[in-house]
Amino acid sequence: MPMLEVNNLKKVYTTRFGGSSVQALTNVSFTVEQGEYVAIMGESGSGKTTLLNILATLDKPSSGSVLLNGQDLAAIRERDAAAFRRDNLGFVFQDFNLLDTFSVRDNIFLPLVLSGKKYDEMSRRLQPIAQKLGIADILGKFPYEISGGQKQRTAVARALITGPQLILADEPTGALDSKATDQLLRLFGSINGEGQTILMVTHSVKAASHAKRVLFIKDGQVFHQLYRAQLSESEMFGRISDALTVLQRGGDDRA
Amino acid sequence: MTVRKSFYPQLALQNMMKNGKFYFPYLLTVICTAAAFYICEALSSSPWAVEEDAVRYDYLTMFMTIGTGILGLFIFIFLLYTNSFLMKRRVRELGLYNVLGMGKGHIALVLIYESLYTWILGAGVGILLGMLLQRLVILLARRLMRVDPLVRFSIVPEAIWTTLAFFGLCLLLTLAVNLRRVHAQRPVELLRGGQVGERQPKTRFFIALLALVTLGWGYGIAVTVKNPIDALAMYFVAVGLVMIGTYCLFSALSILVLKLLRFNRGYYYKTSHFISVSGMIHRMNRNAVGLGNICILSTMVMVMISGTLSLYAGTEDALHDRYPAQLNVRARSRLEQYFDVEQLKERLTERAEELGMKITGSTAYQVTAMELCRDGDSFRTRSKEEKNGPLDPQNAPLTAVFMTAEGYTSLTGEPLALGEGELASTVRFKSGAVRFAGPDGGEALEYRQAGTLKSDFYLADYGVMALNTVYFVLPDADSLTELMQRTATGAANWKNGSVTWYLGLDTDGDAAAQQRLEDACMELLAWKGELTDDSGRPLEWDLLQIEAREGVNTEDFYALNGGFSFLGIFLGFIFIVAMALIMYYKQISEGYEDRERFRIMQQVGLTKREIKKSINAQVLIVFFAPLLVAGVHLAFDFGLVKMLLTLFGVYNNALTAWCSLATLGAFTLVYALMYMATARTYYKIVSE
Repeated sequence: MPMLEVNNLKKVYTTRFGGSSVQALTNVSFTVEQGEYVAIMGESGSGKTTLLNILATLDKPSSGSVLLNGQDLAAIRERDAAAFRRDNLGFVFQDFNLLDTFSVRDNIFLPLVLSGKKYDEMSRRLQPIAQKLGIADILGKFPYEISGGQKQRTAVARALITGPQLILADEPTGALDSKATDQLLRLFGSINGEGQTILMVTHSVKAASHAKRVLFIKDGQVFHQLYRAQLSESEMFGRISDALTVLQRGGDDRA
Repeated sequence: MTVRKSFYPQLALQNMMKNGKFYFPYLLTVICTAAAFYICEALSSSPWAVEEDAVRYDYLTMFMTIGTGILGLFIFIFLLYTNSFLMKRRVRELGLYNVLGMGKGHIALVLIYESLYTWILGAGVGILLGMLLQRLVILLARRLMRVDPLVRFSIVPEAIWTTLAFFGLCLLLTLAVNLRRVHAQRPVELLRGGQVGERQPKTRFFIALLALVTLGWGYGIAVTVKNPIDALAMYFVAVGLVMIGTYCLFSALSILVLKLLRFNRGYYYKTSHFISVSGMIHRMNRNAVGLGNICILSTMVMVMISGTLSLYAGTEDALHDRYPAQLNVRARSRLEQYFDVEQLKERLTERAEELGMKITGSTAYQVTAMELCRDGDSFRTRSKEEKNGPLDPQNAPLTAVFMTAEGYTSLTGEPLALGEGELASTVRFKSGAVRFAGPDGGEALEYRQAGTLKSDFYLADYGVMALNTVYFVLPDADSLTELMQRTATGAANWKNGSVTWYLGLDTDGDAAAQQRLEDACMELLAWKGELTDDSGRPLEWDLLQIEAREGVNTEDFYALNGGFSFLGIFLGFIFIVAMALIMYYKQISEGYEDRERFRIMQQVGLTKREIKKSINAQVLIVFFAPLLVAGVHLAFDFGLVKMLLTLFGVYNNALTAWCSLATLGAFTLVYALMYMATARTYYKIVSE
């Protein structure tokens, strides 16, 4: 059984007074297996963010279903959604979304505190993650005192500490310089190597080229997909670029 | 680049409209404060007062002149404060203009036009509003002062010019501050202006300690002060200390306490504490000064209103203390003459009957006061050298006031039976006996203490120095004379001179009749010399005071207390309006701050309900903390105010306590209403 199953997802936004409607997702279906590293690419307005919001239970589809380990996300009640997110999903955002009021340590602890864990347990869980992400030295600092790369690694630590089924990353390299980007992508690779499932939405060909599989979305549909298999990162980079060119030409030569 | 001439004025106008959420309250502030300033000015120059009773407005015009000074200072600070808030929000917008190619000169031009509009619109509308309200305010003032509500509406040109000039000056200064700010910044910084990350506050132990010390000291003064004169002298010291303490409390002590809570892992790492403690540290840091301002304004409003309310409510009591009867005569004849008060009473009763009224009640007592040095249960007069030499603080004299048992009963209505050689006093003497000696240390006159008077017994004549005064009641007039002859040098030939007689008469006549009786009394005692001493010579006076309660004296009391109360209520009202505005701005700025945190927490897995609950709790605590602290301030202030009020002749502590409680209650209600009104704006922003 696949870990994540997305079936015929459709999302229509209507304006408040029912005047015009916009179809953000037309018909999206795909699956993600345990331990996969999937990148979703597409232009602005292609429906990536809508898709991510639905996967994150922040939004509900107009029709179709999303199953995480067989559980239908649509069946989760509004007030249980937050707890569900906390326990099953880890988020990494483009703009880090760290809270200024908390130290790095407390930012990482946030989801655990919310689920009522004791300090000792939180501390035990943090230790190896902080070591691996190279943020052990800055745990006492505050977000405004650290670099963008460090902020994003803090956000990754916050996503990992709950041991989520799935990590959802929304343009994680969008606000990073190239060095920090490389570092983060290597990190994602190694986390995935340890068996963590990752779903990443991105514009960046470079970021996508680190994934094991790339899905292309256009006009609210899955347009194409690429498997990395044994390709090197640079070869994958070339393939993705080609695919994007076709996509932008509006090609009918669908694979 | 050439630009149409009307471009900048138009842009300025557009800016003001676009920033309505921030700008409109600012304009409203200018309008309200201008109206208040105009009214204050108009009342202090008083050409509106009706000629005949202009004298009665002397107090009011004096108070309003002081009021104008206080208000002016307040408005100046307040406008700078709200302007800085407004500008903080606008830095980004102005940065954008600069980046889009508008020179700093042009931005300055836009700002100048904005200030000009604010001046014309704010001060102009404010003055018009002031004129509208002038009538109402004067009505209130007259009512408080018990003057016939006859109002003549008049425009006061000087007040208009002063208001325009004053606000012109204030706005010019804020403009200068803004121009400097724009000039000093680079465009990139201007653009980033709105989003500079908020830093964690440092723990400032010294300031936290200072908060404890100044608050403790200020409160200590309030608790330990023992008499009204000291209270008056120390009042502003205490106020200053508590003000410093308040700012330190909010800016350092609160953060220290919260940080200690954060340090406690078992407490801190719980869902509700985790978010609220960290959030409050953040909030305290940012809002310390704002909270301090709100707290001090709240305290000022409550102190002013409760104080003046107590004063006003106590006016009637004070009037009766100062003038116990309708007609009050205080007379002291020449030392060697004997003055028979019964003779005076008889003559006045006759006159009253001639005037067609009846004497319904009378009080008569004789009293004498001496400065005596006390040593245990012994008292002695000071020698000439001691009197003329420097005051020895170790052996400072106290005021001893002596009455007779008959006089005491006449005054209080309480029977007091004293035998030969017995006395009663407000002080309880350990040995059960009191000795009085002359300056030469001759044989002392000894009295056995037969009774203790109520410790709060006082005569209004000596009321102010109540705490350094001891009252004695002796058996009869002979004892009084004997005591004086024994204690004072060269008093052997004194009759009952140097004793002041008080005679109070109540009649069934109306105010006009009372006035006629007063005139008759004046004629009798001061001009005709009809009264004689025991050897038939006409009486001559060392002291002669004839006072009627009704008429000028009552008017004067109400003109003073009413005018003062009016100032308190007027300024209190203005401060409340100012506070509402500070709260509104606070809610807006916190709303924009919290919106982002609200969003992030939701993504990380906090339910909307939990977030709302936690933020709600924080906002409530932070909002009501100033009120709580202000309440504590008020409680300590009570100790000082009740003593200060005795200087105005108000001795009714229960009344003062009720006035304070009522003020606290009413203010809490207003505060809560203001909170609810402004909190709506906050939630709108947060849930956008």
